[in-house]
Amino acid sequence: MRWKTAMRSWAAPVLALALAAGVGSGAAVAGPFDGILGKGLKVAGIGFLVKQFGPGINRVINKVLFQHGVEYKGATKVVPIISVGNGAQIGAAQVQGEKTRIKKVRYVGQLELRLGRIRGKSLIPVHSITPGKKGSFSRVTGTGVTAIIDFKI
Amino acid sequence: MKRGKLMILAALAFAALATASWLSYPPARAAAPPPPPPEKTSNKWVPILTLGSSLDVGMAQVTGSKYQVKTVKAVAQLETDYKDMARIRILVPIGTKHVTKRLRRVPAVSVTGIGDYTIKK
Repeated sequence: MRWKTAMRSWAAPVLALALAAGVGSGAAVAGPFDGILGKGLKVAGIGFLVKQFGPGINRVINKVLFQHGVEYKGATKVVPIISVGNGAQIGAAQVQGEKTRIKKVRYVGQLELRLGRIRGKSLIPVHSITPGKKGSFSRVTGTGVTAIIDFKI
Repeated sequence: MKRGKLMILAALAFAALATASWLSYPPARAAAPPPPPPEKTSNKWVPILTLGSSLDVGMAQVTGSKYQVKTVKAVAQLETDYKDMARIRILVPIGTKHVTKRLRRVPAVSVTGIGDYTIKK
């Protein structure tokens, strides 16, 4: 019985990550995700999977970190991350901070810059990324990122 | 006659008292205490060491509760790539300088910015 419960708790997020990887891998080979429409579909698909299976992915990340002795005992959450600058990537980011602040985080925006061997990254947890919406793109202070899994668009 | 009325009144009063506590079930809850005010947060720049697909050193901006941020000594980043298609990164703010002994993760602290230099690809 226990293995069944364990399978249930692991299977959904692992399957979600595998699906995301499958959708993400469309970029490596010529396929259905090459065009603008395909890329849009990939962004929407990965974003949807991360939104749906966020809590499960969060549990998996926490369990993996626990096995390596660096687990975090506090409020964490997995949200979609969109990276721009050095190409474009989409994926999942684990954010952490105070529980009340974590609830407000909906997305993470990442700005990346690479100049030869020097690189700079800014990780911004935000309320919303809907243009024109009040509070859109505003940073949720006191929160930050602890893990990222992303795929090239 | 009067005695009979008194008896009925007494019985009614007793019944009312006996059922009063039952009727008022569940007992009225005390007002929930107001949520604690949000903790003061602060930022700090600390060294970052990246291991995995490349070896990088630089600085990372950590954020979190003021008390915990003070205890952060460095950030360890584990990074791996898969066919230039997927990236996995784990950021661990640590509170010990002796990273070879044991990584002590600082709770309630996370990373908001990184600037680093690639030593080895």
